[in-house]
Amino acid sequence: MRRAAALAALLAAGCSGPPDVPPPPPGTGQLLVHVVARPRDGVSAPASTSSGYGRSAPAPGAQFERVDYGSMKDIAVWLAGATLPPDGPAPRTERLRVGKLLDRDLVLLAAGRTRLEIANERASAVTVFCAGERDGFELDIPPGQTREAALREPGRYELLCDQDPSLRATIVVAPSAWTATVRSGGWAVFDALPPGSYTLTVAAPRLPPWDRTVTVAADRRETVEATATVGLLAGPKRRP
Amino acid sequence: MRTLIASLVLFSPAFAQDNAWKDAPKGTVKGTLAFSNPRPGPRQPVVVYLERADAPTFAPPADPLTIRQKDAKFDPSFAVIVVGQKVVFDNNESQNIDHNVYTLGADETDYGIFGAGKKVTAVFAKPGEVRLYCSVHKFMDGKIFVAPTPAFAVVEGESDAFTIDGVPAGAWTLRTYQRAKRFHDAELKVDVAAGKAATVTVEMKR
Repeated sequence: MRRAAALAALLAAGCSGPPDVPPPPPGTGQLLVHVVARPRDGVSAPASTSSGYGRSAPAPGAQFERVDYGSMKDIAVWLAGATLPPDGPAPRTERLRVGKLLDRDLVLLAAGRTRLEIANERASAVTVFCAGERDGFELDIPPGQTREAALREPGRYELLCDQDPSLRATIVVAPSAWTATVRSGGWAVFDALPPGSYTLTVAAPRLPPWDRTVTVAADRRETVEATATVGLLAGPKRRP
Repeated sequence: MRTLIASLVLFSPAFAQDNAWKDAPKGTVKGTLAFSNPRPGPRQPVVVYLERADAPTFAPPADPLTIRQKDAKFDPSFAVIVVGQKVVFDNNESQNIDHNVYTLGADETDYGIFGAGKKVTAVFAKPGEVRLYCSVHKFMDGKIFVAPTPAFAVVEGESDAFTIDGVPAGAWTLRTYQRAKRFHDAELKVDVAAGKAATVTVEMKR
């Protein structure tokens, strides 16, 4: 798992080219996923980005700020499949900061494996909550303190705040420990995979999920291009 | 007006051209939401709705819901409609600003890009939560809840009581939907008799 952790660190760096990783251990396969978020056809990139791709209330007069897909962060990538070892490279802890804004749009957790720490950096207490069909939490967090939560039920959750309804983040709980979070243009590396077929899913903030079946062979490296875009939707452009 | 009918509306269980709903003997469902924990923030809407597989067919409301795009916001930012009801997205900007509308959830469609003064009409054929976004402007989002039948009530404000009138007699499943989900959604069986009111307490638990 030390090797997996080292490789997982590569994806957090958001390499611009294919990462230089060693071949997979004998008898296993390796999957490299290049993730790109693109605007819909007909939508140009903004000339400048004032606050990155944060989801929060706009400052007065800033409501026309455009989506900057090229700088999108917090894109979730995960594998699912019956033959995946349960001890994948999922991080042990993810952190979300509640300041004037939330510092993340989307947080990816591995079901039952990843804890979520929520730090209140405001001068007053906040109550944050989320709920699914069978799981959820509500945390009262005094100013300057951190509370911990965990979600075990895979799915999509909406994190909300009583004191500031404009603060919202999506929490995705993946059904396996084989998870990665990347920036647009970054690479996710899944190493030492048992040969087999898996479902690869990419979920970017606000965008439709992308998924595909990938087959991994022993002693082979597979490379997949994943594009998160509104263009995946039916309508003027159909799902490929 | 540019019109785009982007969703098929053929297979909704109860949405049809004939209107057995209108002629069915009806009763009422009265109830109260009982929350297991306090809700300290602003009271967010909770939709209480009824459904069943053999619900009488009904014609959706003739009047469309209009959602304006003004100052890069959806207005209203939350609404409840009945499956099959039309929604008009109206780019009402005073400046020449293009908007895009796309949906995720019970409807996943890209309704295109349209400029100020233009409108797009959509029909949502599946019940459930529909999240609205604009792929141009990052702060634009909203939600529509598409109720499976006309039998629903929106609980908001200080009162936790609701009344659903005009419910065709029979055995129904009552469910809830929360705009800001804080509790597990409730589900319970309700028998509605013609000319009578069924009274329920809907427990919302965490």
